[in-house]
Amino acid sequence: MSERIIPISPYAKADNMIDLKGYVSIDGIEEKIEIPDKKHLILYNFSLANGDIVVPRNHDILRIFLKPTIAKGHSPNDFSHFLLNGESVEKVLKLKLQVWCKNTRWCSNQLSANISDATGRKEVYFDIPMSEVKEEITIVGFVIRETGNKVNETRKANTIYSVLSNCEAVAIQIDERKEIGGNHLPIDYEDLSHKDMVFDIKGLENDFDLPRIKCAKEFKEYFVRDDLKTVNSTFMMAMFYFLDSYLKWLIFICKYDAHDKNHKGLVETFSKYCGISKAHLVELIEEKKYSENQTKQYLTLSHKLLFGLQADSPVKYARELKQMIKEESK
Amino acid sequence: MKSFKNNNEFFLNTLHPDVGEHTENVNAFNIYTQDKFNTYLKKLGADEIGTVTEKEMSVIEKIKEQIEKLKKENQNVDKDRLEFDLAIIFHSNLKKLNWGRWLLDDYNMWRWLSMNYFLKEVLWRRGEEKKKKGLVAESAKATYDHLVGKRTRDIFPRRYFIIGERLFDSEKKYELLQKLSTLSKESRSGGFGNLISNMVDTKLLSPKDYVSKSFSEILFTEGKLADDKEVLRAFVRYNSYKKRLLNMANKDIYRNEICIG
Repeated sequence: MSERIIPISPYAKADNMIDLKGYVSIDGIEEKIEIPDKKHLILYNFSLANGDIVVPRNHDILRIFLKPTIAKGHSPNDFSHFLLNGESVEKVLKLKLQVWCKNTRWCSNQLSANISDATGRKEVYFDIPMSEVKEEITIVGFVIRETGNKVNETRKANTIYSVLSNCEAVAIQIDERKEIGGNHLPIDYEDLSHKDMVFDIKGLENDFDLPRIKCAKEFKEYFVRDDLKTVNSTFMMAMFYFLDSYLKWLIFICKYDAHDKNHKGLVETFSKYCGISKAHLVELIEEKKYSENQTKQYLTLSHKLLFGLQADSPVKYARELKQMIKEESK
Repeated sequence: MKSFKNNNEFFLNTLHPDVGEHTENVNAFNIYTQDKFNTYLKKLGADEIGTVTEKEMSVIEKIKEQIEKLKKENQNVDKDRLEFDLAIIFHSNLKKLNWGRWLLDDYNMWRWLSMNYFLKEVLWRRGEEKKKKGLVAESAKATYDHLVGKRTRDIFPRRYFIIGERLFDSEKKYELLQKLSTLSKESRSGGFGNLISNMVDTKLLSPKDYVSKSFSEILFTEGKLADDKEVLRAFVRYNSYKKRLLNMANKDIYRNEICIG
């Protein structure tokens, strides 16, 4: 039998029936850091209530507590629709939880829970060894069949380990991200003195290769330093324009290739900052260029980007600015 | 450990054997001593940061010593059959420095380690056979590809550290790697190459690398050596089961549905 004809029977699935709530606990820190509803926690440089800043890399272990809960609008009985005649939810289905890191391909042990335990009261935890993970970790949950059944029913899974429902994954950022200004926003230096300019973006007309941000060469020696307030504030202010230009390029110009790592990287970045799922964003990019819906959606995303960049990026704008003002006015 | 400030592009533009009209880059890989090679890197503008501790130095020396021993003891063995031994050597020694996976994407550090200490080892492993046939440019290119790491997954020490991470077990230690090393040297057949490239290349994710270990055990240590195609098909099958969570599946599932020839 060739692998090309392995029968994978389509069966009904429904995602997001179980919500992964919880918090992160770090040794030496009393505060429990809640996982936000948007399922993206930026733990790197996280501000605690007492004003301290968390740098996860300075700790050996992160402990993630999870309290799986049946999502709003659902009940445990909903799972019985996936089962074959005569089967019981408790005997056949299990919730599997695991944490993994896409950068290092580390994966935690798998925890298994009964569906009836998804009440929001029962707590499970993972210890994450910091030496095994980098940049971001992802918590995933799956409802799977723990037993097979030879009975066939249309649109129902009968094979052991079939995934019947995925939980919305939780992303926890533990290190400074490289993507802003790094691999996904190519920045280099050019002589712009004849134009009396500090920044430029070139290649916005390309439909495949990423545009490139150009910085004036004469400032290079200052721009590579991270101890200058003027440089920091210049980049903070310019970053929205840069990102917004890339967003426009991605939506209106780019011929998106799902296999291109630069395109994928941009989608990932905007998915985080604009609070949109990657699938939805790709759908929007692939719509007819400049269609009414595409244009409207861009305007909404652009506004969300302004918010996301200030609040969700490793550099917290308000806090940074306050700090700079405080130091400057001394 | 030290690290290069320069990235892959810099070495591609300055050190690759195809760069320039003269043969200095080709010679650098084929005939330079390690010291001369390191001086040449500085002349090209390679810049480094960081420091090397005594403990790190002694680990590097130990690795070199063990590779030398491996070469001597296996002079008549095909070098492709020594991959698991190299994985044991690099992994067991680098673990003494408490290295973990969070270092895996520090490519400039791996490149620095590779280029500053393992020129002769990479030439022996990747270029020597070509050099013996007089194919010096090919030998230099093959050495470049693994010493500098045209693809990051090929950087010499990093490659073997990853294989070690996949197959090391906290209880059984290097038992599986040792078994695979013995089996691969005993036979001229077997898809060990495909096993390694799939382990290094793919985004296999499973608790304690259960999938890599199960594949290796079932395909090679249960009485029959799977050939290249069988290994490839097993990985294709595994990757095609998107709708099943197989990363901790019972081994019988692998035997009966995935690793089936």
